[in-house]
Amino acid sequence: MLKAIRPALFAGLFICLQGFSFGAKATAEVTTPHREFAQQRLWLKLLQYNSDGVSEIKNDGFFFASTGRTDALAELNATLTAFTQQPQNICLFPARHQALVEAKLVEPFNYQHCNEFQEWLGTDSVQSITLVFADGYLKNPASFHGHLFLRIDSNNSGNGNLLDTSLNFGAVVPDDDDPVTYIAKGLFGGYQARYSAQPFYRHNLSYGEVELRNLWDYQLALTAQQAQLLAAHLWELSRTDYQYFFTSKNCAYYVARAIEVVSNNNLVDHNEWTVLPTDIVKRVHQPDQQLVHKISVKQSAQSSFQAQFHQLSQLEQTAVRALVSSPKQTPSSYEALTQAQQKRVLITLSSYYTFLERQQPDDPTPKQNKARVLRALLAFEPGNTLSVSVNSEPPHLSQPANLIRLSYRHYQQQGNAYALTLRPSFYDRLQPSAGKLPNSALSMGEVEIVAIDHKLEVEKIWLLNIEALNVSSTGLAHDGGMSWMIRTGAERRRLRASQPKLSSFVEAGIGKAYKQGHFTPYAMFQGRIHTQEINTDRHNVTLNIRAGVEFDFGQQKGYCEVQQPVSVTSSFNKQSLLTTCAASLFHTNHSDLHVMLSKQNEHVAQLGWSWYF
Amino acid sequence: MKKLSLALASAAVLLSVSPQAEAEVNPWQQCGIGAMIFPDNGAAAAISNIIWDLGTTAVTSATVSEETCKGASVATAMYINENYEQIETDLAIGEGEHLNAMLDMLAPADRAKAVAELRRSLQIEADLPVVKKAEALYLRAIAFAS
Repeated sequence: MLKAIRPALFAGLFICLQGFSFGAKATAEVTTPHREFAQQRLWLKLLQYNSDGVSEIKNDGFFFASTGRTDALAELNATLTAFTQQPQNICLFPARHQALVEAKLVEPFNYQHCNEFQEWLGTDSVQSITLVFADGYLKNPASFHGHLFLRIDSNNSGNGNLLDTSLNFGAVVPDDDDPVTYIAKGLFGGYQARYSAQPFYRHNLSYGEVELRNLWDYQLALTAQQAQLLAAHLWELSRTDYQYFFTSKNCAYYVARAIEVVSNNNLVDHNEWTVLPTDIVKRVHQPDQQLVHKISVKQSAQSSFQAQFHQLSQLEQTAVRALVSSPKQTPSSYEALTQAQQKRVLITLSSYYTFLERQQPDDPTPKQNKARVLRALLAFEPGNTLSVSVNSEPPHLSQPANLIRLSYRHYQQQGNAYALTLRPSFYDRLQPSAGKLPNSALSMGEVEIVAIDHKLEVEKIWLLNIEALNVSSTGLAHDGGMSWMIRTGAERRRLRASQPKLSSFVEAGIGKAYKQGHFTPYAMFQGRIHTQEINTDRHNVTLNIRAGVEFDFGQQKGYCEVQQPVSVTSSFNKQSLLTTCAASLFHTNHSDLHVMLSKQNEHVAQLGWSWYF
Repeated sequence: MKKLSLALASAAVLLSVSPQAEAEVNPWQQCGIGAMIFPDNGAAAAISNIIWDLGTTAVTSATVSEETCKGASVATAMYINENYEQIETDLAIGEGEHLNAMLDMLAPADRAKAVAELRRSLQIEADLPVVKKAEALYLRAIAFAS
């Protein structure tokens, strides 16, 4: 641990500190104030103790006492001794030192002397700490549930905190691990993990510009002293290692653990089976924590240009479309605009081409078109004349991931049925999209049991279901991209026949979607490989053409769609058309009421009440 | 022919910087930040370093090894290199967070004047590699800021 400090720094610091007088003696005595402080929440949190009284930090170098991982008092005394005998240790544990100063157990120290710590902080003045949530991202399984990290904010308000230090928690994954090893080791603790500091602009670039995810800032409501304490504690944690578990001991868990140093109550428990970033954001935002000062969002490149486009007047939007269609010409719709309007059009186009440039890095066309737009912009007076508003919902408003749903169903021929649905993660198409990709669904481990005709039957086991309508809201080329779905598991096709088998399947599809106000029409072509669905089946492949429209009016969200399944053997045989309408009639943060009507060879009406926890 | 003219334009930019600027470390030439860490696309480099989410990506260091390549000017160069597209856009518009961050790092005496100078000299060439454009902007920027 001490190797982290260069010898020169040692020497310099030691000289600087010769004249300091510390409250603690060289070998600290166990006094009542020490005993009391050692049991206080702050000290236990600084040592990263869990509720079992054991520190979760594995590094021996994090502790001065050999029993420091389990004995808070021993660690306190050893820390006091270490600070007294070798003051350079203060620079390795400035948060501990700050806490001890506030408890009047040691004398103050000027942390500006800690060169490496100051360099790591990236600022002379820690103004605040911000918890940053990156929206979920469906193209990488590790990103499905979003991501959390912390940022140490300085006083530079006009630069979007791009230069501020952010602290990310991640597993150390060898490049050559195959996907199976990766999943297995991720689930069962096969990876070591640690914190890593990076300037925030890298996260902005990676998440916002390339992966097109909104970044939500939850600036913590901390005093300057608390902000400095947490920043110093993050520095202490930056040299620690952990065992990583994908579902529980992940970024969300350890970020929460760090924040607990300044929170009144615990945010997480080490016995929890799953800890998701949205869970932590919701807990941090709870009124009794009083932890959130301000919420803001940095929109993704796509959201940003879409918001700019919708801010334009009809005439301006027409000019944007004309310029996108014929970028080398100056259309009359553009020439007819005032100078101010032209600049708004050009600003929107610059955002559009920046978005395209990121998504199609090998295509020179967006770069060339953007260059024309920027050259045109340079002819105008400096200044951004196009402000945009944000209408996305923040992630703390999302519903929790765990689901229990009770449903009543009435089949026209098979009679009444009652269904119990359990889902550990994450959300379906009818739930609010706060903190998630809009117009999408993601579920893992969804199980449904049905009581029907005096029998209990497993109706559905979806191991994985992802549907993503990659929506274009502007109609401009490449805004949106392909929509897609993938699903695997087993289920009964009860609307196809009255005695369906539990059929295992893998299904995938691709299509297009377009957003128009509250409505999102879509169409998909899907293929399904499956075992027998009914006894008379002679096919194992079904193709499916699917079209529908989603609607979203806030409290009411739903879709109506029609599917044409085609059985594939040596020939193509059309099955009956399957039509479905489903909607969420109202929702709260923890529940909702669903209705569904569906028809194929059988009709069903369903009413379901969901509880999210 | 086009490549030649671009190369000449680049060389002209490099030669036109002030003596003070020449005295500074050129992070592209001396620290290799363009070729070693960020081939041509800052985004790609950033991705290789940061896709943690619940923590599943190798944590690698983006810092250069030599002591001389760790100063503030190299940090500025790395910032410009990785964020060139956004800075260029902000310069064309005349304001923006990425431009402000660059100015915060450079700390010119007169920010408005620096922006005006940088806008006037901004070369928007779609075919020039981002690394080259970033290097040219960096050299102009430190020249104006000094």
